[in-house]
Amino acid sequence: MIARALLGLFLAGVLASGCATVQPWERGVMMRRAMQASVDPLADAFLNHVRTTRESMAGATLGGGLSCGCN
Amino acid sequence: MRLQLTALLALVPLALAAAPPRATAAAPPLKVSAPELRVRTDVYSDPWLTAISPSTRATLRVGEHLEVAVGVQADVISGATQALVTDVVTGATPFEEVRYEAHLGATWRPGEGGDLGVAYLVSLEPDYETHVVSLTGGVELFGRQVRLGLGYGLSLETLGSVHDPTLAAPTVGHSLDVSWAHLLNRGTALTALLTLGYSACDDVRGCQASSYRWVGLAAGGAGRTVLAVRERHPDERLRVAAALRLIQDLGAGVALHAGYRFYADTWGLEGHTADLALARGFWAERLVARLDARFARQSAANFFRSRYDVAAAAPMIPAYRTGDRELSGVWSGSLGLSLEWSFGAVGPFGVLRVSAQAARHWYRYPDFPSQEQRDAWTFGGGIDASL
Repeated sequence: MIARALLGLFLAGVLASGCATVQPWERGVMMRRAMQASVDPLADAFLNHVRTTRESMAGATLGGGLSCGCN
Repeated sequence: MRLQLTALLALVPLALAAAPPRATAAAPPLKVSAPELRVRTDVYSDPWLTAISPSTRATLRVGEHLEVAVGVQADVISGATQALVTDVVTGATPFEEVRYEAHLGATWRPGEGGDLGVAYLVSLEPDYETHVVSLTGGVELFGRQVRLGLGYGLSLETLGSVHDPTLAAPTVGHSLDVSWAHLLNRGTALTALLTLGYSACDDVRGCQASSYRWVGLAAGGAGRTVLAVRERHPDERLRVAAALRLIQDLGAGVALHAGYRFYADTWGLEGHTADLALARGFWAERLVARLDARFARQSAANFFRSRYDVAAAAPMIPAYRTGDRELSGVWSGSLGLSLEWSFGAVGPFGVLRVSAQAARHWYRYPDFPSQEQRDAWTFGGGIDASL
């Protein structure tokens, strides 16, 4: 139910803004370091690895490590 | 499978179409750029376990369109693990082991409209070996306001045991990742991610389970353990994870990062993860500080039991049983702080950045009596340099 609601919200957002054009010279904000999804991909991979060995959920993230996670 | 490959191959002509026209003059010699180097060390620590994880990655450009990345990582793990059965802690077994991981990848960017990548990763530890080959592709659409990404991964994992050299239980896994990143306006980006994963094995002793964990079968009112058997999980698992991520400029140098993920699999697990972060740049972003919070809730696998009860007279072993804490219900939360300093050009480096992270993690396993909580710290620091 929650997933469907969020999917609907996402599609509504896409449809509402699909025609808005952001020119290349207007993209300076998106290039700022604070706007980047990741500070350090190696740090993200480490944290993803920790989480996948403490939980059983995985996927829909970027990066990650591999091991049996037996400990 | 055929569908996945067909979908990935469909990206090839799109990427080729985005390539600039081929030059008719003699091609100049390939230029190899100076590498970008990233080095860091992370530490995980809880009352039972300490892991120190140094890692490094180098990226360089070959010619105008090819980027090659190579990376290595090690996990030096030491500590003590609880042993034997789900309802009885028999003691702590000290251990120490090292895991090694190496990664090699290449990305071809024929133009500004798309990219294709291939990568290989190997991970080795005394009782576990993994090989992964992945193919990725992406195209920019609608005036580069949208990036559609597609990835396929094939993994071969082999479970072993330091106590049993004959044990080599293989698992084959396939994963498909689809992403849609959309620049909604000059300060808002929304990304949707979908992962489908399938893994299977057919080893008679049961794979996708630890070779060290045993499950106690209890009988009688007091739950006396009458038999301990190896854990056994279903041999197939289909996973699906879907996520939405939002990045929003709030003004005054502050950025909001928010995400939600839904997870479900054929073992009956269902989970929700929410995360929120605020990042702010100071002094023209020479310093960026970021505060992260995350919360996750996961239900138990449908064959997980806090205690497996059997009849004392004629105990029947359940087809699937587990002593895996991570297959029980889980609540988790974490709070972290990251700092990154950019020094610009320093000495031989064109760009030099130093980062540091610290986070506190809380894990609660209310259905797992022998260890209902596990709290941990993670610390890390790294240097990112371009020559």
